[in-house]
Amino acid sequence: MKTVIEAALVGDSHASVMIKSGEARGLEFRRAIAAAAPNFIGAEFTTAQDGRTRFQISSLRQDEALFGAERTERFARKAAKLDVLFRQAFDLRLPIYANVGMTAIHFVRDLTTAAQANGQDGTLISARIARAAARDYIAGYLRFYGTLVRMAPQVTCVFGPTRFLPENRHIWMAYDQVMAGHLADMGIRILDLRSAFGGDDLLLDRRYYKDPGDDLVHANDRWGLEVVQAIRKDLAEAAQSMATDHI
Amino acid sequence: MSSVNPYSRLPRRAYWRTSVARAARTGTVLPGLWTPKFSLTRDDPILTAGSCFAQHISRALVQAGFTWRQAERPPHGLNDKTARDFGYGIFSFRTGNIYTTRMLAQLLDWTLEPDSQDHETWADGDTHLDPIRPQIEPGGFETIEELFMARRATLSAIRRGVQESSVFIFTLGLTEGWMNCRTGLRYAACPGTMGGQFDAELHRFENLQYPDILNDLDKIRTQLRQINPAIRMLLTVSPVPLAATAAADSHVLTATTHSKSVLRAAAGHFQSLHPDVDYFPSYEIVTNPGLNRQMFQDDRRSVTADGVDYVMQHFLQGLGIDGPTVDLPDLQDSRIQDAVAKATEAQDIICEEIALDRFNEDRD
Repeated sequence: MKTVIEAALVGDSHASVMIKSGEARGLEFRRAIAAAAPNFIGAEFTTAQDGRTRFQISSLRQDEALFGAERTERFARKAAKLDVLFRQAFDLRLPIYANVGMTAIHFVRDLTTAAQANGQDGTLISARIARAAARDYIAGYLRFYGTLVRMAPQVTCVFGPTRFLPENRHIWMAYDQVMAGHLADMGIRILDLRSAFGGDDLLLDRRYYKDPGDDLVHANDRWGLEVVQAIRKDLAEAAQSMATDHI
Repeated sequence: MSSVNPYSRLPRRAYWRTSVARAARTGTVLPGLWTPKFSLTRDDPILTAGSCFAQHISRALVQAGFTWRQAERPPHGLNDKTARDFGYGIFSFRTGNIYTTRMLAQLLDWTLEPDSQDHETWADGDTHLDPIRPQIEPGGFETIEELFMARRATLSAIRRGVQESSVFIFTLGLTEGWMNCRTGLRYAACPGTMGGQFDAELHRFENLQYPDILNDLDKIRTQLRQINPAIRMLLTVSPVPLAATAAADSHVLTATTHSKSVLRAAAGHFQSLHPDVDYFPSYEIVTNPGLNRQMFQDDRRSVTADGVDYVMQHFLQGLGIDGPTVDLPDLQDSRIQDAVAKATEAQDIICEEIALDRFNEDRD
């Protein structure tokens, strides 16, 4: 039996895990808008001549000289699909659950890789510096969420799997803190499930690792399903809370 | 009738009238002021460290197209302003100002033997300051572990930077400093001024003298060559006066002259002892009244942008390198340029020592 969750789920490969594992148990989002993370990096919403909001991938992914004709065409097709799904979600006034930019791994990787290129150990920075770097790093995501807030009745963000190494935990947490803080300032709710899926240090528990085939980045279907169930519960509670407010 | 004597065949530069007085009249550079002892090209990786004037040198080297080595780069994604606030991009390493030779020797000691480093920290509310660079982390480090982690990054960057560079430019700033008389730790600033608490029993003022500076320079050269036997040193003396003196019964003017004279004399003598050590006379260019240039801003401490340009023109001329076209302003126009430069640079050059002026209650 299929149950439709009256919301749109917007996200990257972690959202794909949620979507697939939810669908395997008959839980479907009204709109599932998922694509690999690079599709959202540098992406933006623009206003078309007809006044409608359009999704656009970054100009980098439109660079045929860089990616070749075949790949840029594939990127463009994906972008067009996302554009349609976003428009439908906006038209349907669906509440949005999103994880775009909510997994610190890209930030941590970029930071440590750039440092390594200079012969430095990128983990030897303070949380304060990591937060300062994160503030600049998330600027594009915040613009993205700015549009979601404007177009959807409610936006809620969920963190991706917290799969940090002990030496970069402080950087990961700094990113999460900055991202969550800025999103909250924009009126976005944070559905923080990190402690439910991890220990005191918030590291994702091993039971959520793929086995076999763990890639040190993603979580398994169990994680995906539990996030979907948590979203469903959150949505129900939010609806109940709104109903209570109206009494 | 005078006979031929040692003065009769000297070049123009040896005479005040044909060098300094002429340059003062024309506003041009002093030909032959500095003849480098070793070649230095734009491709040679150069490190800079030292007092706040060294920040000008870092920037001027970049502007002139030299390979200024930023051995400790800011984390990816940190914008330039924030990076500077956190002490990146000012010197080759995130050291903050290194005012004394003793501070540099201490840092190089720790670079060579990290286990030998002192572990004193300054508590500042819930945060912690590094007493060898108290202003490096705005707001302070949130944990002591982070403080030493950041120090480990800097010591590692120093080692790597020295290994991979051709020249280490060190700008000597002060002779006055403060130390912990029990542990021997040299502080970047007097405890109680930028952090920590002053304890008269524990904290001792030291005013390094000529032999001390020479010994330190010798130690520094040995330390640098332990890491990179081919590295060469280029010494300069900061023309920036002391913000304050703690020397007993001293006036800040005479203390400044004393301090700079000792540093200048020691640097000059030290370079004469070693073919791999040179001295560049930025101090003389800025401070000598004979050149008749407006070198200091209204605070009579900060060097004007024009002054820095003028210094770097001599640097490039000495190396036989054409610099970028830098139009030196007419002396009459320099006030306008200075006003603009002052406005832009007031927030830009990080001179921790000026913090001492906070304690100046203007009393007799």
